[in-house]
Amino acid sequence: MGGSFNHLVQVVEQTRQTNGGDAVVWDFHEVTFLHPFFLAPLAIFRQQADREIRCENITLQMQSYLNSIHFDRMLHFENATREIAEHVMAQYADRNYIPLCSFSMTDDNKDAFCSIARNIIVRQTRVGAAVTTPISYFLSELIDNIYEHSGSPNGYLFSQYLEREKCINLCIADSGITIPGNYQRVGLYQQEIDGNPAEALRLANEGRSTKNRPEIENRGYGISTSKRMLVEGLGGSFFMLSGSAFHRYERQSLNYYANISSFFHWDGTFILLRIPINAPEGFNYINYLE
Amino acid sequence: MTQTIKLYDIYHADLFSRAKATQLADHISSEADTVILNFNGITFMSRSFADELYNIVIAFPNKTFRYHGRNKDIFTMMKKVAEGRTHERQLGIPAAQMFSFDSQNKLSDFLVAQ
Repeated sequence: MGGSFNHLVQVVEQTRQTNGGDAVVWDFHEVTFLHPFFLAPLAIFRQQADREIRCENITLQMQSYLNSIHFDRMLHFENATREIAEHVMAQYADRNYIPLCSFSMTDDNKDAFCSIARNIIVRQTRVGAAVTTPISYFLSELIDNIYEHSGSPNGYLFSQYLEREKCINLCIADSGITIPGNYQRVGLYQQEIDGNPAEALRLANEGRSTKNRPEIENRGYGISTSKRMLVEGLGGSFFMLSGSAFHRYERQSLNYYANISSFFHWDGTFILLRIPINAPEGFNYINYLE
Repeated sequence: MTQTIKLYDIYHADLFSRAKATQLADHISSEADTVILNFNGITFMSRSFADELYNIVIAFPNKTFRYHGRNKDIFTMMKKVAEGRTHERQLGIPAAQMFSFDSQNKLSDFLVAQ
């Protein structure tokens, strides 16, 4: 995850530093492998860029892969009926990926997309019930967070099943106001955050919601529970970038927040999950619910 | 009057989002004194949905809610949410480090070293 993010920051910054209005060329000369955790945010960045970005010197094999995952033009689900969306996504049931998708954040659309994506991932990986439910949990909570807090018109999803490594790389993203931006918008926790976006990420990851009921802290469980279930329960990895801060949690000794506001900003939030398809013996997702 | 609401007919097999749970209130009859929520066919309920369902139940204090056909996971999820409403939250958050980087090079060095 760290390596993919390192490359992403470099490409995004170099692209931004190109004089305004000029087209930018991403040169893929000698590139033989692109990690899903690099590709997914890169595609989102390219889609939102205010200038033309051309990809050149791509091998035929690489171009074929980029075409298959819809790198140039994401699949978009805009209030399609569930049947149509299922039909479109059914073609990926026997592949090892869900292509880059964007989906509009309306009540029916996002829930239908979430359900269909989960079904495809489960069919691709043939995971048992012990991991199917956590996958449902991650998708539902993280996509619901986009809807409830980001103000993003669309969500994004990309998934790749790595059969040899027996894990799923899942990216869920939005182009919304970011987590620090949301705390600022509602005027909560500003003293704790004190201008440091990494503190805002810490608060969100610890479950400090902006929408609690007045009498009780009833919200904010989605991220914290998903993370514990994924990392401590399944032995997976978690990465989050939002605005000018990121968070990485892969094990007890690799758990940190970082402020990078001096030189980098991402317009939105993206979350990367590395999900092992085999649960450790004795794992039960119920044990991680708060 | 007893009203039975088959959740599968409204939501299919997944109870995902908070917003969809909110819509359940529209299905509750004002004349019903007992509302049976039938979970047959429902395989998954998110915590957000369960939390919003809890809000709906307390918003109708004069009605009795009963739950039929809940699987073990859904039963436990609703129990956890109910417990969360009556007990102070205990954050079991593992300690994390805080870093700040003032240049791309320093960030890159840090990430490569890990």
